[in-house]
Amino acid sequence: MLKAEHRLDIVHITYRGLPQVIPALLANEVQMTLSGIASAGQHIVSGGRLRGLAVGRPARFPTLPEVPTLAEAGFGDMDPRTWFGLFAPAATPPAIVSQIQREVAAALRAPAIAERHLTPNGYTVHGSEPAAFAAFIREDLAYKERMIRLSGARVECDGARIRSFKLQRSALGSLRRETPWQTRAKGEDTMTATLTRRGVLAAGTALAAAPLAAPAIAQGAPLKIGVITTLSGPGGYLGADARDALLLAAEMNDGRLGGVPVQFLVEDDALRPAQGKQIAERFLRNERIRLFTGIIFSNVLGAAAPEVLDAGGVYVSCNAGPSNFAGRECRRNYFVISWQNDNLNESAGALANIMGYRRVFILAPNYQAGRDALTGFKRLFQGTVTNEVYTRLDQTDYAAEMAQIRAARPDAVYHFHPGGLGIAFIRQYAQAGLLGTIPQVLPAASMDVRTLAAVGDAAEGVDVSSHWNSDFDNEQNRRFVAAFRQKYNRIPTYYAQQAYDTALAIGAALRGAGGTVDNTDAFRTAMLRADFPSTRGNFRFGPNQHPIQDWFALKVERVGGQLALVTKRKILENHADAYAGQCRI
Amino acid sequence: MALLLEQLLNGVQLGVTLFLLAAGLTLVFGIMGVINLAHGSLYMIGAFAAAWVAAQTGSVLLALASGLAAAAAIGMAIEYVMLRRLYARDHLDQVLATFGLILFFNQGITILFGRQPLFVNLPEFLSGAVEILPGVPYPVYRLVIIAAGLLVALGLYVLIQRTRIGMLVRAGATHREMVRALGVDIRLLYTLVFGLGALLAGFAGVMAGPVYSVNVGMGEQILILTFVVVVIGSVGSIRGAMFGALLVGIVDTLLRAYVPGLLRGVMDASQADMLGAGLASMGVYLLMALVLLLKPRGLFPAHA
Repeated sequence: MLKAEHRLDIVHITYRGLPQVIPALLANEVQMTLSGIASAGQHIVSGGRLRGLAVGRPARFPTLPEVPTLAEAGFGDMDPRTWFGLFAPAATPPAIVSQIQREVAAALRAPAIAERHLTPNGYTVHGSEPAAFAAFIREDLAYKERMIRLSGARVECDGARIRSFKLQRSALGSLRRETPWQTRAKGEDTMTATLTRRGVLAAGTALAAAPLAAPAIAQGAPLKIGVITTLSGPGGYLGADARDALLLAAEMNDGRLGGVPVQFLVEDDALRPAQGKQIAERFLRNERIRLFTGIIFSNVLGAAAPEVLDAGGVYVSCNAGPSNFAGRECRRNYFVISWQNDNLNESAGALANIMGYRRVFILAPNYQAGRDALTGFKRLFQGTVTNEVYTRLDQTDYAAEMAQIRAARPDAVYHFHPGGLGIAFIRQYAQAGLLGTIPQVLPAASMDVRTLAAVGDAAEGVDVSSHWNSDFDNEQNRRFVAAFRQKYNRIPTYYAQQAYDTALAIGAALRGAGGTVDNTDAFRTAMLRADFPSTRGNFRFGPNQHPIQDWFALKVERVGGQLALVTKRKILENHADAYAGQCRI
Repeated sequence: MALLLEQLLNGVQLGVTLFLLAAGLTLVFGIMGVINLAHGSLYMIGAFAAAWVAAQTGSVLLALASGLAAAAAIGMAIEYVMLRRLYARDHLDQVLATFGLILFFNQGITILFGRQPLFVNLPEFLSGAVEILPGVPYPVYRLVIIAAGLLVALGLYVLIQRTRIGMLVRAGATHREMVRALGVDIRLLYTLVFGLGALLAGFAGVMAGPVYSVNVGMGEQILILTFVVVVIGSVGSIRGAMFGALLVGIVDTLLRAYVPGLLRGVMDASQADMLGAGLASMGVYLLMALVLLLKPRGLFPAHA
């Protein structure tokens, strides 16, 4: 109201609550706030570190006599009061209501309560009769309605009502602690019932507060998409490729996806689940972002994605597809564009069959995707697994594993080691002299173009399975690879390709849902049509919102003197994952 | 048998790397009473300097020299500029300040070299494998690491037990006030000891480069194990650091290699592997707890 009617040039900054605002005010981070006298009064009186501009009550406050009232300050139309009232169910007999009213009013006026607890904290005791209270509420509602109009706020979700309900509950609770009369009044259940039944009233107060809590959304501002990804450490290039491809996809369409201007907010999770979760919380709360993507590692996804989904947001995965979210715990607003983790490794198992390997030594890091990897490999591999070894996700030295591999003398080695892990593993594999003796059959995660460049000649002849390769001959892919090489001067990895596909899928869903994610059902319907030209060609969603797609065999070969991944043959066609049947949505 | 020998060598190799780090850490703590969390950063600095020079010049000797020089120079600069002010302060202040250094160096390296890991190629004559026993090839470079680590250990022994500087260091560790009272320039000694510790950490970093990837944060990964070594071997004792490092290196490697296999005898294979991997990574810490239970001051207490 200050801003709209009095045309003050002020910016609203959201804080968690007064305990955060007051220090910020003292530190001159913000220059003014609205606060209860209980919180700010001491700083105005005692140290004089804050200046009272006005008090929002009919008369000056006794302990702050120098501070004018709002009316005196020229804002007579404003009435920023909060109030507490006691409600009973609509059917309560009038006699009981008036008895409770008398007792409560008497208790409130008792000097022990009024003078010690209420008045010094800026409360005025009324203890009004039911009829007067009803009239007061009507008047107050009219005032709040005006405020809502002025702010332009609207109902967005049920969350507002729930939050306001909690607010009211806590207010009653704190009063109860100070005022013994509550123990004699009706139990909490009564009040709860009343508050829920009068949901309209509760929502009204919540919305009055909403313009303070939510930054106003300007018309035409770009849709913000939260990108939580791994940019540092040995897995850092994976996230960097995903981020670059997302930005590229928007740039190729004039900063739009599905006709909607978008803005990507990118943050580094450093491969730490807790950090990913924190970023998600911050994006949800401070930036009001509803749409997320970017996570590379399944353990980060396991922590961050539920945060997003529980808050009513949408997560579209551009890499991680852990098994625990593919089956029984699948979620309506969770989509995977890349693959279900097992699929990638099932394809490697199928490739090992084709290569005729009978005894294979398998390794993966001990985390969700690593366990999915070995499960997936074993699902389609028909030979014998000689050893099954779990390495650590932060491991850098694989000497012990190399010795085990040598001792086991398998036909081939399969290992799932994304990013820098794979580079370290394959280099040490070469140093240990295993390269010439035991062949490797790898999922794309362990051998992408960056691994290839870092490992060098040691990679020649290695067999790889993947759902995509940069040499795929379809128009969409040629366009993507050319644009990516032009802009970033390097060959895209499949992390980039998946992120690019993710951007296209989000664009298609946004177009179908009217350009917003406000209606998640409409967004979901549009997303599941998969109405976008995928760079991998064949793509559609299965019943658990994970892809059904083809898998290919690649081989590291020399092309014009340079080592490159070359597509050889199709291994699996229209391959779905093993968990789709358990998903009920 | 051949497998066991190979795993033992792997354990020794991890052990000597840990020793190089732990020696500096334990000296600094024993003599100056400073807990230096930034020790891992010196390891990282040595690795990055060597990797960068190797990529620019292709010379092994230049890379080695620059890695050592960078770590030692920055180590002494840290001592001179910052740690000096902290000797008299509480351990908490030291931990806070050196933790700040970790953040500072990690960010600094990120700005200079980016977040992508660097990879160091080995020169031809180090990159192959030799047969240590018939049918058991072992990477030459890892043998070189073992040899270099043992040589450094020997050198340190001579330095500390047989030279005047070593005498001062030993005296500083046990009777700090007396050394000062006898007119020794204790400040210079501190700077030298810190520089020596930094040099050893840098050396460990230089040698680790070609085996592991050189990336931001590599120091923190290994620092935790290094602290375990220092605690097991007794704070301030070089001999303790040596034995502690070998013990931790071998135990860690053997547990990783054999626990899953042993568990396979009693349970389902994939569960055994998963549980075994978990147990193996706990093993070193259990070892530390056990040692502290039996000998609360570590295996080789420096202060009698």
